[in-house]
Amino acid sequence: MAALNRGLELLESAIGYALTSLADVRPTRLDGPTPCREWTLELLLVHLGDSILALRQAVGDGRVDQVGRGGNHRTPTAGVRAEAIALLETCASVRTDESIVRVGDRKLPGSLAAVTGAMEISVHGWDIGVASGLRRPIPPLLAGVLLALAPVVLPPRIRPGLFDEPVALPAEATVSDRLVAFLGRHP
Amino acid sequence: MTDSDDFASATSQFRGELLAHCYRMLGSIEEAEDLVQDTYLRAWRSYDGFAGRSSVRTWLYRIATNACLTAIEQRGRRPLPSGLGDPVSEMEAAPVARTDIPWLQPFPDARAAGEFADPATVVWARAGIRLALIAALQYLSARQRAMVILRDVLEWPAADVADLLGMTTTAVNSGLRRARAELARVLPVEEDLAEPAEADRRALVERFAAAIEGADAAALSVLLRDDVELEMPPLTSWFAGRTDVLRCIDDHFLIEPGGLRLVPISANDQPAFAVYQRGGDGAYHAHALMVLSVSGTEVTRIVSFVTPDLFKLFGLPASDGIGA
Repeated sequence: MAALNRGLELLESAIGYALTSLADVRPTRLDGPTPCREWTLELLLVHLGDSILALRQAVGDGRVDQVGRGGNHRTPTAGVRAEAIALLETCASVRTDESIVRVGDRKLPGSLAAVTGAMEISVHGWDIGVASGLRRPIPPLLAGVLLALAPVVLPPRIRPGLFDEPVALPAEATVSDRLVAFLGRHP
Repeated sequence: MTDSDDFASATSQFRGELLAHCYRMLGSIEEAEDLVQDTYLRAWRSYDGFAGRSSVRTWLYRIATNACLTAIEQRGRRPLPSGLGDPVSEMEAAPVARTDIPWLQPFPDARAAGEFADPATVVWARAGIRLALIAALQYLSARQRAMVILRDVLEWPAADVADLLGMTTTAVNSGLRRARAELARVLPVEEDLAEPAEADRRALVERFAAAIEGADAAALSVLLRDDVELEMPPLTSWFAGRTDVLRCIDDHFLIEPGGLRLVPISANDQPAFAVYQRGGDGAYHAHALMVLSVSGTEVTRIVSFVTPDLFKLFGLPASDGIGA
């Protein structure tokens, strides 16, 4: 397979990681805090489900409409898992990120949408792990690529409101820790 | 080690210098960010096919330069007010702010370092980035800009420049001769003068800020060289000579002590300030980014970008602290 589908491969890898974090979620912790200020674990799961739904529109339809709520699910965890699996299926059926994605009146390269989506899913996967009492590191391959691309997809002009300021870490920190620290988390 | 590991460790250190490179080509930090993003996404997607045919650095410059050449073809040059007309001696009653002109933008030096950059690459990020040179490069065609930047700023061998641009070495050398002649015509003489010692420069910059913040025209006057220039894009009017520059600043900016607050920053490898203006609410709000040129112990040029949107590009807050 040509290497031109790397955005989708990255996205699939991020979903795989988030799914393992979801497996750790215990219902008794849903009201608890997360690394995202003002979000309980339950609100974070709902947000992540919405983000994954928007990504599925981007990958599958080439456009993101008004983000609506996914279907009704028994638990927020089940909702995110269903969205994640639906996104994996869409990625498998599309197999190229060379398209253009329309978001409102903006046009983004498909690879950019995939990279930003993978970044969002990975870091929230990490957040979910922390909220569940487990610091499950982001796999090094995934974290390494995202660490290289995060600064170019997230320049200072668009950062405010999306992520807190980067947290300084020693150079010998793991790539997972350096990535979440770049995205404003304290690993 | 895998491809992805390779990509991350092989490319991260060049981000700052590529941002500077795209900025030199385009005169806009905003567009430079977009093209660096584009460059990294393309590079990452085709990294398997790259397979070490040249150095990673050369390969990234090739992708970025070609992206810049295409971008420049799609629009005209980015000017400063002094590139559009002659100076005036007094501000018009109703100054014209031309927000429709794609003005030249300043470069945030803090972004040049990039993460994990080794000092050698930071050198290339900071070389040839002074505002006057960037403004002068805008007079060249896109290809001439690329030749001058690659050959004279980044010091690439002519053969490598020719290879990147798909030209012969002879064509590059003759193109360079024309480009250098044009640059010599438009580049201000100021650039030839020696930079002051760091301590002198710091003292001058501190006195300048104190004079503006204290609304002290007399203190400011002694810091300005007699042929000092003042530009304030998006205003098209600009001023030359100590008398006119001082009158403009005194009439319009030195309203009361504490009216402006100057936070020192660095832009285009020159001393610069983020200027905050006290509003009716008593808070200080983003007003302008001011870039100074200095020579000896005098200020020779002030370019004040009266565009609060630029603060975001410098990672600066839109308002500065509380009270005085």
